[in-house]
Amino acid sequence: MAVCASFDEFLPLLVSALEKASEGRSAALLSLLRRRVGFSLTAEQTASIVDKIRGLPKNPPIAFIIALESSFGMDGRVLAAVGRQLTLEFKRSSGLLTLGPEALGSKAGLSDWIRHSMGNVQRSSVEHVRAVFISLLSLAERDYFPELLLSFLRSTLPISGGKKASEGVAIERQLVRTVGKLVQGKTIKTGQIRSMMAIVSAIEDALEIERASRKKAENQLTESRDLTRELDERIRSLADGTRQREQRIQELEVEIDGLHQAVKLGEERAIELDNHWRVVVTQEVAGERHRLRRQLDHELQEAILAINRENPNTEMAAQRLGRALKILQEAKMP
Amino acid sequence: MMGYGIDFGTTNSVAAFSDGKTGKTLALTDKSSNLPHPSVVWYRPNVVEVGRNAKYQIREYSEVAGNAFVTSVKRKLGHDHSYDILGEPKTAWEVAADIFGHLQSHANQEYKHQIENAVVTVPVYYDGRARRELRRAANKAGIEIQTFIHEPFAAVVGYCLGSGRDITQFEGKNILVFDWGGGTLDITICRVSNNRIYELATAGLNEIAGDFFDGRIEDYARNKFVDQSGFRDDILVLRPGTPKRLTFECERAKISLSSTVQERIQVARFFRRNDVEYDLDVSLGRVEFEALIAADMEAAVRQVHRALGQAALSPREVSLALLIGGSSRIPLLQQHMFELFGPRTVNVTNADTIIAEGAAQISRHGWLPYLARPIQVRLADESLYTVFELGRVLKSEACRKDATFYCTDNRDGEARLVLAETLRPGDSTSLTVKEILSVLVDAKLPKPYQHERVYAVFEVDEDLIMHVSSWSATQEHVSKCEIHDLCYGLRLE
Repeated sequence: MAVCASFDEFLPLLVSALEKASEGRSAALLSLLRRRVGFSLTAEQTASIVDKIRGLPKNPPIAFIIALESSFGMDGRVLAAVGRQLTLEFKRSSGLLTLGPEALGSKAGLSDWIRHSMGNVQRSSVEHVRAVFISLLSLAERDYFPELLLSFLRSTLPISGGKKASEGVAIERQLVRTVGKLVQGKTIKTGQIRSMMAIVSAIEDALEIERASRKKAENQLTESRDLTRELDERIRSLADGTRQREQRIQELEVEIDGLHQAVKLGEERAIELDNHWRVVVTQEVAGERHRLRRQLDHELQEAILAINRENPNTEMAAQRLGRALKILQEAKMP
Repeated sequence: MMGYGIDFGTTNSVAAFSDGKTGKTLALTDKSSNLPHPSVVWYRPNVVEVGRNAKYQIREYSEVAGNAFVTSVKRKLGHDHSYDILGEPKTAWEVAADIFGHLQSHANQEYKHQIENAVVTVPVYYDGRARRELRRAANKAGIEIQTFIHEPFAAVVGYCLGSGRDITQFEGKNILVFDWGGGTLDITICRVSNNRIYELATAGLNEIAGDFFDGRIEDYARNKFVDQSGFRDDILVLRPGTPKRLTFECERAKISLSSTVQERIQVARFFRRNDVEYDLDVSLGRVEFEALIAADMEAAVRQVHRALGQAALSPREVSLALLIGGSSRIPLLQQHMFELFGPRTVNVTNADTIIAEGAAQISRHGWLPYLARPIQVRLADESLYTVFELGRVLKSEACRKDATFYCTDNRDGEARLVLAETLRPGDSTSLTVKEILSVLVDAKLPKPYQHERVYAVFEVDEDLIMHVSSWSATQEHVSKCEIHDLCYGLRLE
């Protein structure tokens, strides 16, 4: 198909396709939008086209299809610019843009948003489901996108009126039945099988990532616990060390007190010993003095009695005095 | 921390204290002479004097009216003895109280020590009655007696601890204490075993001691004087003061002969007759002196052998022979003892105070006497019932026992409680009957062993006297007796 070089060239084609679409034939419009063009749409031109598309009947959902296709990348085509604008409209409509940065940046926050958003939707509100789905496609770059998609699908079940696996037939039987339907026709619906396999594979990859992530988290948890235990041990060890040091300090204080006491007692003992030896020396001096006095008294008295009379006994007196002298000499007195 | 001991002696008494802080022990001797206090009491109207001055004045004033002297009161304790003091009766324990009072006041005034509790030493032969009177005397003087300890045990403790030795080095050894003071010779062989000291044998002499040797020299000198002067002995009446001078001179000569071989005994104006003064001047050689006392020394050595025989020991089995008392310094005696015990003979230098010092150390450590032989009751089948076992510490609160006996034979209306001690528990061959207490029982009861019981209470009091009270189940009469000669040792822990 030829490439339109300008918007002026493109516009009549668009008007014609919109008219057909308004009658329920949307294939021409989609085909036009998918064409490569040689111009870029301005914001006003894009807004004008989007308004017109939004004014079309909603069944079939032209806006949804455009937004969906634009998510696969359609650079150089009108569909890309229109799809971006429509996607923005869906995101606004689904409430994604009202999420805070914390919820918007985490898997748990987004999963909660999906559950919450889908949980509030009436069964007939297909528009909202589509808006949520298109919003979800804008997160396709995230690692956990398949899980978000799975979460979306789970949330969709009650809306579409189907029974939960746990409420009716086992999920294995449902799977078998689905696969059976795919292969029971004249031709095997390989495209759908491929799509299903792609979903399953994506989910497996996501689960593998989740498992790896969980394993990593568990390892981190184990490491954290080990580290915590080690830290506890170190804290305990430090506490023990502190306690021992405090105890030792107390012991040392007691020892110091004991030493002070010993020094004090030692001083008192030294004084007492000094007094003791003074008394002993005094006693010995007194004893020696007493002995000398008695002996000298005796010798001198006898000497006096020997000579102080009419017939003095000078020899006896001399001997007495000699003995007294000897006593003095033995006592080493001057 | 502080302990006091008192050696209440026949001739001298002294107190001592032992300080736990310094570990030193000091005898509270007479401050003017550093000698023990003579156990002499001099009574004058309203004046009581004890000690050295009283001793010096005996010869001057003993015959002078208004003066009364009491010596050797220790021998009279326990015999209800009473003195006539200036016309008034005074018991022996009251005189002893004056000596305790002197020791107390002297310690207080001269050494600033207040003796309130003390261990008091007694001779091995001292019985319960004497101990009871001694306690009464001490109490009157304001001294509480912690316990009584035998003098030789105190001497052993005083020697061992006083010289810095450990008493445990004599574990299992036999020690002979030879205490020859002014009044008596007391020989005790004791053994140290399992932190205990107990006696194995005792012997001694009552009449021959230090004062006796001075008397022998005095007699010798007088006889020589009589020989030299030609005066008859019966006219040899000495003037007052002269006998005291002669005694002093003889004592001096005796002491001097311990280190010299010849000494002269000289007393100027010894005797006066017809206005002429005669001097006493005689020579006394160590050989002559030893001849004078040879018989006494041999008697003393015989007592040593007697004690060894009692203890069934040879001299070699004695590890230490402690010589205590003034008379132990006589060279002849030391020679005899050295021949027996060789270098294990020790002349104690502080012999006058060692017993008091040992008692003070016992007091400080709180050591107590213990029963050295078990007290038992001999039963009808000749078996022995132990009342107080060997080793029982003799504290009055720990020595009481109640017992009930069966009466096996009531025919003569009395049951006999035979109290005995044995050398070893259950050894009936070494049994010595201490007392037989007769208890009234009903003579008419058939099969008395079924109906008649004899109850008994045994107690040892603080004077180490055992009291026994006994009565039967059917009679009201309570029979009592006392045992005054329990055999006790000293527990060193």
